[in-house]
Amino acid sequence: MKDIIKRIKEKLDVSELEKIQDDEYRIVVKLENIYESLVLLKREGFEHLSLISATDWIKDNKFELVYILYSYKDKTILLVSIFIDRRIAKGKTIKELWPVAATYEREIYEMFGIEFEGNDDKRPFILEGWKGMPPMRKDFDLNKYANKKFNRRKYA
Amino acid sequence: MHRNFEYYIGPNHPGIAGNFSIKVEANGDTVLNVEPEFGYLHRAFEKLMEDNLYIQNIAMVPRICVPDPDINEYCYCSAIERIAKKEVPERARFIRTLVLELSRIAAYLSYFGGIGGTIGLYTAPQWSVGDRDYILDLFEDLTGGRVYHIYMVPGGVRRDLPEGFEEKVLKVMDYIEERFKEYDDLIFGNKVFEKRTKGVGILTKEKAIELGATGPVLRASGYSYDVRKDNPYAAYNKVDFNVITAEDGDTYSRIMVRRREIEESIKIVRQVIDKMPEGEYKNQWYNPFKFDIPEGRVYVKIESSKGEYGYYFVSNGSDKPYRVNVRGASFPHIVTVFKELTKGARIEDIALILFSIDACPPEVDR
Repeated sequence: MKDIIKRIKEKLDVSELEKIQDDEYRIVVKLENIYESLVLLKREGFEHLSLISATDWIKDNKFELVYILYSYKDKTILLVSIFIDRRIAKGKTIKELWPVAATYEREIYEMFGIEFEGNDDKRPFILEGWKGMPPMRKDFDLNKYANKKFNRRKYA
Repeated sequence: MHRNFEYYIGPNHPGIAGNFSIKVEANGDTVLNVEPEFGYLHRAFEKLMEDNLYIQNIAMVPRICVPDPDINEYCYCSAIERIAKKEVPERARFIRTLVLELSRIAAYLSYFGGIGGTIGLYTAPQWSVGDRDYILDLFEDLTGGRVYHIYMVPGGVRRDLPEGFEEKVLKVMDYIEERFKEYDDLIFGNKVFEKRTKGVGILTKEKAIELGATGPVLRASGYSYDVRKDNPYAAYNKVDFNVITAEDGDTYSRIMVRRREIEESIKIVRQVIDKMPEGEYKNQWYNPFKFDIPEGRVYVKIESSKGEYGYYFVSNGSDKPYRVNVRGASFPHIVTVFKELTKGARIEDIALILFSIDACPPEVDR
């Protein structure tokens, strides 16, 4: 295991640590610690935020938010996961740490309906005039929506 | 004292690469603020992928990025291979590297055409689009498709190199190398080009890292980082090439970094063909209609012609991907870097700055 990962394990309250590949690791932290954890990770060299991604684990009634970080110094990818309650669907913004995070959060709010405390940007991002359930949630039925929205074309 | 005006550029505009629009707030011809707006190219790829079988998605993913489609095929296949923990034959890795580099050269050629068009050097797009066609001919020979190739499959590539393909590739590489002497005279050494690009839209190294720039944009600001070198994939650890950087961080540097990278790409293509190993080109461990992929998640990233391109891939063990999130290289470039670069710029430079960061809206909309 790389030194940097050992250091992170000592300093952070990590509930799960997984090695995906030689240069790729995944940790799970708690929702209330996410901002402090990312501040610390940024100081440890994870300067680059590649992506914020969300996954809908509908069976466990949870959303997973993944912050994909990269350290130029150690050439390591780190996936930082947090789990949040699906009914509450509230995270914390990290737009002060990385400016691009504000837009990733705006997209996740639109696609999953996850709000980010401290990020008030709720303007539509990609969808236009969208009403109803956010489309990337697992209980959104794509076929049902398409049949309702578009007329079936009749072929002779 | 001028009043502030608001302009709306797009969604279709010759100065914009793809369909998206920009709200520009300007005083006189000085830009105060830009607000990009997306959504014109949204095709819900990520949602559709969750509804399709693994094999069905292979034909769909290249459509995410038109000028450089093979990066999507690579990311998708590599993510499946890594979750299933299956090896790819050595020959397939080399063929993939060859395809990725040819795709990069094709993407850069259409990029130079765009640059020429925005500053009024209209011969550039004619030449570069014509030269790009020689590479598309190679792709047609290899895969049957010119723009979308659908060539890589999990475990390798769809079929082996056709007979005499290597010689054809080398011939085209010689031609393009020879041709770039003329490009230097026409575009890159042109006084108009220099006057329009030098000192325009400067991005410092610190700002580039803070805003999340990657790829040629980051390298043009003086930071040497290339996924091919630092986290090698495919067969990039078997070839020798230089990471091109420039110091100034202006529009001129961003274009010239790509100009010099094309030489490195030609170098890589020659080495790949020289070192091409014999053997299998595919390791098909799966039934195409029912992939047996265990649970897992992985983030695959590669160096596209625009920067770091990645797939965050989650599998729950079923016959469909559970979640695929595409990290377009252009996302931070359009959203944050573009905003920073146009502060205080002039209205006529907006299109040039946008082209210099090689913005690709379909990567943002998906």
